[in-house]
Amino acid sequence: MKRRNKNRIVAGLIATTLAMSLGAIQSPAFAATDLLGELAALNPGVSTNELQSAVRIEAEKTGQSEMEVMAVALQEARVSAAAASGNAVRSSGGNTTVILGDGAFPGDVFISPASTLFIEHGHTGIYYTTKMIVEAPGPDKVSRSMYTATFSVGVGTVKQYVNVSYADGDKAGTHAYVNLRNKPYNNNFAMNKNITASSMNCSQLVWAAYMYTLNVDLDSNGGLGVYPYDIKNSPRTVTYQTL
Amino acid sequence: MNRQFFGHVRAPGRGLRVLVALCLVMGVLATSGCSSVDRWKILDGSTAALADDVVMAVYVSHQSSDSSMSGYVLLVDSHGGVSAVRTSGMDLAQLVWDEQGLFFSDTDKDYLLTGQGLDTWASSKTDVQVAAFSKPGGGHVSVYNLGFGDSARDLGQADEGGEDLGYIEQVVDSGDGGSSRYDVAGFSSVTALCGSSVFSVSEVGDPYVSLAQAMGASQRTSAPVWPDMLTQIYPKPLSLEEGLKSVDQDSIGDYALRGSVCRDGSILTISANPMKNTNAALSVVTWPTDGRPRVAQPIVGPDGKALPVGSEIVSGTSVAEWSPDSDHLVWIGGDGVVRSTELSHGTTTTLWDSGAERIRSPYTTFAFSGSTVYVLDPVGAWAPDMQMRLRSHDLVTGETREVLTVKLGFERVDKGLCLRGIAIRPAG
Repeated sequence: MKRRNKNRIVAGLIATTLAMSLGAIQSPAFAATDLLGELAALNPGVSTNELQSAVRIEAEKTGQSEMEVMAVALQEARVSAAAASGNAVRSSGGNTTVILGDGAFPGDVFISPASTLFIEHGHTGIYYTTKMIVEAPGPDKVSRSMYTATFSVGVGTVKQYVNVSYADGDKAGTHAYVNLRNKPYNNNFAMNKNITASSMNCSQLVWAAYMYTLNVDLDSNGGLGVYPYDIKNSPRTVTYQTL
Repeated sequence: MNRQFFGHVRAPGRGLRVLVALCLVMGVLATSGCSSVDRWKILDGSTAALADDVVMAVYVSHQSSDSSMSGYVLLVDSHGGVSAVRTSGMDLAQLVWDEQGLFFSDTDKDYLLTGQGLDTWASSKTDVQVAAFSKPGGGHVSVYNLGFGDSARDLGQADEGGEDLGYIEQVVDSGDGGSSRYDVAGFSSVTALCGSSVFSVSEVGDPYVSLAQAMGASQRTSAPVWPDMLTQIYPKPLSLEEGLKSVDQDSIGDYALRGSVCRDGSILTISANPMKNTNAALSVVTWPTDGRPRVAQPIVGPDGKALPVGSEIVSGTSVAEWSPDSDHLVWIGGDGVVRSTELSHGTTTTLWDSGAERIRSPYTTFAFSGSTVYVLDPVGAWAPDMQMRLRSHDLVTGETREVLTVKLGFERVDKGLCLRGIAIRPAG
């Protein structure tokens, strides 16, 4: 058996198992629709048609079936939402916002509790200097710079440095400032790992800054999409302040 | 118990007292004059007016990163009562209260609230504000942070045509019930009104690179890669050459974000730029707007040694327009300490400590009026309906003049609202 075919069968078994564990029902066609619908629900602002198209492209690129691609993407999206919800600001607890403030080094990142169209995925950005961050703020907005002294974030926000040299962190932050502020927002977190995409969401921007300049992958769980809490949980990031 | 705030404020007229009584008795009003959100009195656009007993205005808004934007301008009276004007929101919103009235903006409109009523007019703009100024001849000019040019045009948020400006800020010129808007290049770390012009300090931007290089600017190997330039952004320069005033290779954009002032044609501010041959963390900067070079003096104590403060206080620092004489600059740091700095040598005296650390709290802010500084900060632990206090102090001595406590309650109304700009009723 050719290696490629063997890999497809193994991947198919994994995907089927995932699909069953995710509560898909009997008919493959119906299961695909069900998966796509839930994936769209966890990526607000992205239509099922857009997701279907992205799934198709990824399947062709990797040789996996579309079902396999959807199952993996959905699993990642669920994990992200669960991780983010665990860090969400509780309305019954303390003050809800704090000032982000200075970072320790250029290239540092922050991850804050935030929701996009009511889905809790968190928010992240990268420090260009210790006093300025670059972020992709949200739907219908372009990525831009903001001064940290006037930037409010949710309680529970963490600041992290990336386990690289000062000079390398500076490179990543500078790449974000010089090259990644020219981006409309990409609503698709599920399949966003494109370092030169014409549109970017927040975690994609941070991930791309390090991937493009240093080939450092900040996605802790691999897969097709990188979410803010994937960066927070990366073995390459170290939390030094919790707000 | 709140004392009557502002001795010069006249007692509200009979008509207003009747209206307030009706609001209190009926709770949510059925009249067209106002409704209520919890304890706020929401002012309807057609009947809103700036009452004589309003002493402070506070802008609360969602942040631009939120999926939905909305905001309110809260009007606080001398007894701690709160009225509100709804807006479509503006992150980092500023308020200008001058002899013309209370001026403020949101993403769709500009507003002027006076004792006679509320004027609004269409004025579309992006959702992060940088600065707002009162023009000497009447009207207002404000600046907004848009983002990078190409994509902003694609989203219909930037002017069509014209040269590629790279990173864009929008300048809005408002007056006589209307506004016009144009784009300028740059991301301002300082904005100041000098005379009738607005100037910006920002990292050398794409369209200015060759001009800045001709003035001596060169690219650096670490962030920020370009030094700062001083440009005139209002009135709109006829050309890039006309707009660019000077560059400073040593300037790296680390300035007091909360306010710089202009004196005799020079911008005065506090900076945390590292300086050669000194271990002082801070410097006082004089940047002439006529093209002469920027001058920075390390901030030292009366003993000549570097002031023992960290550079982190700079970003929350505000500089007062008022000063005891032309040789000094009085400023309140992000650590809440009020200091006076002699411009020629940087010698700095600590005047008093307000106890309000703006760099640590998003619920703390400052405002100036002449030789008075106003501090708005929370009382006690956080709660959605926590007490805030507005206290006025003599800027030099710290003597407390008035204290007003108020429950703004904006996070009870909507937990996504953040405290942004405040404005105090002008004296006289």
